[in-house]
Amino acid sequence: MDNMNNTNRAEWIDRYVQGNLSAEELQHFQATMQQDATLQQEVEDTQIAQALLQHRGLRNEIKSIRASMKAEEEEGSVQTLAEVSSNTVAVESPTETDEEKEAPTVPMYQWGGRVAAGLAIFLVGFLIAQYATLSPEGLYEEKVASEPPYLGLSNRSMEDRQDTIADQVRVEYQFGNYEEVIRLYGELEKPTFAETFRVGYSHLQQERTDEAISAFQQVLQDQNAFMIKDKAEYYLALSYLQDGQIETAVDMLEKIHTNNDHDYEDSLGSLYLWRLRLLKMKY
Amino acid sequence: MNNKKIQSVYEDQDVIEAILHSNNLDPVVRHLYRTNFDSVASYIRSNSGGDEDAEDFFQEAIVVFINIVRKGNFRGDSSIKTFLYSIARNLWRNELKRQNRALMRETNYYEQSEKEEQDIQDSISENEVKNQLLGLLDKLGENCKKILLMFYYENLPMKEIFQHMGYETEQVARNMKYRCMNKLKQLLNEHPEMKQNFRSLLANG
Repeated sequence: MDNMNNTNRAEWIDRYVQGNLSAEELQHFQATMQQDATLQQEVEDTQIAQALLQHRGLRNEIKSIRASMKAEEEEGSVQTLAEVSSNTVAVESPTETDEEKEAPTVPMYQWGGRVAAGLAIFLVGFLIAQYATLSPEGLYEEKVASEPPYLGLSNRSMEDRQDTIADQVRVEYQFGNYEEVIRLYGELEKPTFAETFRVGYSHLQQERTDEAISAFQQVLQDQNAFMIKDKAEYYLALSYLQDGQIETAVDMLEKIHTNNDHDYEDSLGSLYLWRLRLLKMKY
Repeated sequence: MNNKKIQSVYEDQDVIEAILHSNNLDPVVRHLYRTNFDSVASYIRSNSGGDEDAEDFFQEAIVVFINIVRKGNFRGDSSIKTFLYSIARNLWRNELKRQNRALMRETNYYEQSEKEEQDIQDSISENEVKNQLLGLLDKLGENCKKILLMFYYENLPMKEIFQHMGYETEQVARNMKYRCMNKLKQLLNEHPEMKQNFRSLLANG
């Protein structure tokens, strides 16, 4: 524990609080704690914070289990409906059953035809379901939910410096405190493209699409922002999608997908692109 | 879909074992919902509550129940069904008191020992103290909340956290976690009274 920096010290405290110290380490830690009131205080604060996080974690977990149960129940009732409707079809076509009774042997090619017809019906059903449920908001949510949060232009400056408003914008952005980023951005006298990108992303997260679009457009117009041009383009396209400007969004995303040099070339799968095209047809 | 597969049959003792020793709460929480939600919901509905109240208060009752079990305070004097019902009933009674409303129909058909009743009341008070501080976590920012929950609730190693969060290196994730924890401690210090209440809870074990 001697000569440790702050992060290192925090890790020792975590290991103590989580009961992960060896017997020897524990003895040493406890002895140090007896002599160091600050360490004692830090341990107590960590225990309180941990207990609070565990409380939130447990609540979140139960909530999410309940949400899954409800989703499964809904899915189950949809399936039941489907079963009922297929039974109804069977009941409504007694002639077919009679015919089957009269002709006990069915040639193989007929079975092949039936399987093909079944597949075709399934495919049509799938397409209809896809078409009916497609929405720009849904596709936007799906894309954003599948990606880790975008953390920033660079992770180099992770230190806690909050001397300037620009520093505070960076820190709050990394924390994911998007409302605060937007507030602080308003206080900047001369925001750089980096801060404008951050505020654009924050607006997007807060579903303020007009502001997000305007911020990303501003970044794209800044000649100094060439390093993040691809990112700004990608998030601008997603902002259009969130805003319901489907044609613009889909055209931009198609272009990104076909550009081999684009940072986000691989981030759109073929099924996703296909659904985007379907969305364009729908609206 | 696969809900038939996960509908395991639990005896009370299995529920306790799972809460104490399993890393996966999913099946046991589902079991608690399947076997207890309807009776609790019907109690709440017949006492001025709506469907949403039934959902919220049953969820709260499960949190309280799990905490009681984890503290070793569930002695099995009554069944889990009786116990959980009693927690939910107490929670709902407190809520009605808060709203200055009276119970319309009190159902006392579940026997409860005084000691059990006391344990339930204590855990509910503890739960309320914790709930008062939950709002602080929302001031942390989404990324901070995520990283701290992954580390302190899910017990994930930093190696997994940094990949999941999309950080460049594990060290970046460590620094970020350190800074987020400091921010949380700072927020707690801004609420000394609530923090003191929480401290007393922890001290009383």
